[in-house]
Amino acid sequence: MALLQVDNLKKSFNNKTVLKGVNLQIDKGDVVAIIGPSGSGKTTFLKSINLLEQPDSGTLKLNDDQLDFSKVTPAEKLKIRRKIAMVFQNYALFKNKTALENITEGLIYGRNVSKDQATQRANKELAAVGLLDKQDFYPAQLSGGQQQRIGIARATALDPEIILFDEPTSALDPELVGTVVDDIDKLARNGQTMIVVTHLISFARRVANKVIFFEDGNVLAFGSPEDILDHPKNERIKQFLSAISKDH
Amino acid sequence: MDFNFMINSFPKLLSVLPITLFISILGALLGLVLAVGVAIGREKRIPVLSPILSLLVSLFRGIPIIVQIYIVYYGLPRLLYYFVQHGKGSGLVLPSMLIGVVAFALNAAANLSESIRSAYHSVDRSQYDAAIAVGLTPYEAVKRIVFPQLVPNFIPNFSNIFLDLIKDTALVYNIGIIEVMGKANILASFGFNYLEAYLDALVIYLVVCFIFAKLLLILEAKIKQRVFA
Ligand SMILES: Nc1ncnc2c1ncn2[C@@H]1O[C@H](COP(=O)(O)OP(=O)(O)OP(=O)(O)O)[C@@H](O)[C@H]1O
Ligand SMILES: [Mg+2]
Repeated sequence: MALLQVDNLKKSFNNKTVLKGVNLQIDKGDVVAIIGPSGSGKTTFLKSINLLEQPDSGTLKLNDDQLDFSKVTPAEKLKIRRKIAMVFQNYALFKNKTALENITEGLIYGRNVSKDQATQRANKELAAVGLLDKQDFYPAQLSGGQQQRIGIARATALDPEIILFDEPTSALDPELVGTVVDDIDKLARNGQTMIVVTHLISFARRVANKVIFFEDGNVLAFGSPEDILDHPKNERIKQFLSAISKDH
Repeated sequence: MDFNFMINSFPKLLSVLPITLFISILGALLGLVLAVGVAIGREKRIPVLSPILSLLVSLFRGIPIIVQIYIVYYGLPRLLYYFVQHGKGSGLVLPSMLIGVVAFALNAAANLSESIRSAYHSVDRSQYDAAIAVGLTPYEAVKRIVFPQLVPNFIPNFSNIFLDLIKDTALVYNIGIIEVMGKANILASFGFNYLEAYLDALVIYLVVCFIFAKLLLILEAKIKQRVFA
């Protein structure tokens, strides 16, 4: 049985249709890379999965939980969100919280974990990304790379079924990209299910076992990294890949 | 220059300072309560209500406060009279003080609601999204993440608006309230010592505004320290 199944997801903003009936099915342990041109709806799709955006219609199944986007209740939203975590392009750390508190916040107030247990867990996650000594630092006192690794620690501490990443490295200085990619790679090898929107083709090749090509609110292609990235059949994908490789 | 007059008048002006403070502080507090409601109403983009609030805010911001005071002064009793049909005529005389405070509260609400919205927008949306994503309810996300960061952003604007209110109380003697400016006019009128009386008033306004500006600055620093370090 699929871990996550999304069917016919549609979303528009002020009469502009951004997602035109997207389907996706992923299994436990999958690492799915989403690539595609700017404005094609990748971020909107990711945010729809944990209902940061409210889709207009479609259905979602996560394990045994099922919901209809067109009539989702606040309680259902909360339930889904508490099984999914997200890592943001601009880190989105809570600026009024320390590194440690950024991680405990969701455990204490989103998962009802006791403060002591949450602190223990947060310390473990900080150690895993090598930032234990920064636990009392505020985001403003940390580099972009450090912030993003705390963003990742904040997500993994929640033991989510799935972690959604929206271009986790694109705001980073080039020399910091590697450490964050390594962190994500480590998660992949631990069997963490992830969906990663990225412009780094090399990263998609290295970490993902499935690749989705998004265009204009649709999934244009879905397959293994070899199929999509090395032997693309579609002209649009060939164009996109060659345009991107010129940038790097 | 009649320095004796200046020195003798000063304590008399000080004695009505509480009226000036009463109107500006109460106006600011009531205005703040209203402003929170207005800001939420506008941000939630509720059909019909939000556009109406937006229109009211631009009205209050676009009309001189003295005109607002007059309109509330002459308009409010009529409005109430209209609703209280059984009133038989001149039964409705509202105390000037009430009218002054209402006018100031409405004016403050319009300005403060804009400051609240801008302070709210200064906290980037992605932090709210992140709070929701880690499983906080929308209410908790605002309370624990957005609100604490919004407050220090709001205080400098609040300070400006509040100081304007204090200075604008110099207008309410027009509806018969004897505050610092009103008192200065009265004292001066006996012997045409206007310059002296106004210099006294100037000193009082200057010192009061200075004190409040400093206090709010300290408050801002204290809150910033609590929120971000
Ligand atoms: N809140 C919003 N209101 C209105 N339009 C929006 C909103 N969010 C996104 N859009 C529009 O939806 C479309 C898809 O945006 P989205 O951010 O999902 O694209 P993307 O594939 O993530 O692009 P990028 O690679 O640049 O991040 C764009 O045309 C965008 O302008
Ligand atoms: Mg995007």
